[in-house]
Formats: sequence, structure tokens, C-alpha cells
Amino acid sequence: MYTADMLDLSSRMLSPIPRVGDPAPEFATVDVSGQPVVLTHHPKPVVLVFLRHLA
Amino acid sequence: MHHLVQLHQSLYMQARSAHVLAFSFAPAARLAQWITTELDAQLPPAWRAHTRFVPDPDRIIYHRYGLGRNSPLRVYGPRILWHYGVRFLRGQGIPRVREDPLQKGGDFVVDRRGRIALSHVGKDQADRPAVSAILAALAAAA
Repeated sequence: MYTADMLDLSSRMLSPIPRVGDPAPEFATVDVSGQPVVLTHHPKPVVLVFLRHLA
Repeated sequence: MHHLVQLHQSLYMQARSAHVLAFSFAPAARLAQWITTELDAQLPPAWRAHTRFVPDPDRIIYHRYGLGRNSPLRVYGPRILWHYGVRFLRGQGIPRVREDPLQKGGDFVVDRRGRIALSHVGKDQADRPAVSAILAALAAAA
């Protein structure tokens, strides 16, 4: 399913894991409803949960 | 899914209106279907009023947070086999995996200054931070 090229590309794009106290990597995307989601400065703390496979 | 349910149950019970962004690397249509067919039965909409589900099929945000892929040995090591064994004995069955089983998951709390207040990347596919640790980080980040 995954070629060596794909894995190599993935590893080159991988950023370091942000540690406590680091600036959170910012992003802008859309949610499952198509509504924009932007993480810059947030008025309240936010929890980010990165799921694994859906099962 | 169990972790997501536990987290939301705790937030709801403690009347915490924390915002949650739940990412999946499944395509948007598959994620939407999963929410309807699987998640709705275990996670009442009232519990997730402040939660948004974000598809990231190209894993751009996963990679920005350092979430690559685990080795097959970790994914199918003794800890995971034990986890699946417990599921089987409980009659929960073995989950049918459609997406990349090696992709890492993780949990982060971002404070109001935009700084990381909790950072946890699973050592294997069953490793998640305790919900109490997330709640503590939220309290400290508020």
C-alpha cells in the first residue's frame, strides 16, 4: 500500500513533536462539516486529539 | 474511540466547556459516516457540544505535530495483542481496520497563549494519556 517514496516523503515532512511550553503549531483547515477551523490564539484552552484508525 | 468517550464524559460531568478538536486521517466522508454509525451510539451529542471533528487525510496536521507511523512490532506487540484479547473476551470483537494501522495518535492541550500545555504521543496503538492528566493540563492552562 505504501511505497518507499511515500514513506520517505512522509518522514521528510515530519516536524518534531511539540513539547510542553513550545508554541503550538498553527493550522487552518475545515472540519467535517466544511466549516473553517483555525488554531492560532484561542480564547480558551483547546484539546487536540489525534485519532488512530477509526474502528 | 474509548479514549474520546472517556474524555468527553469527564468534561461533561465536570461541566467543563473545553473545546476539543478531534482529528482523523480518514477522508471526510468516511469520518462523517463513522460519527453517524459508530460514535453517536457511545458519545451523546450533548457531551460533544464544543467538539469539532477534523479530517486530515493528507496528514498535514498530524505531521506538523510530529505524528508519524509506528513500527509494525509496536502496533502488533504483546500489549496490543493483550488489548485485543480483552476486547474479544468482553464480546467487543476485534476492530476491522480500514485506515493505516501504523499511524500514530496523540493528545495535546494548547493554552490560551498558544503554548503546548500537555504533549503525549502514544508509545503504541493503545497508549493514551490519562483523562485526569488532560483535565489537569486544562485547569493549569485556563
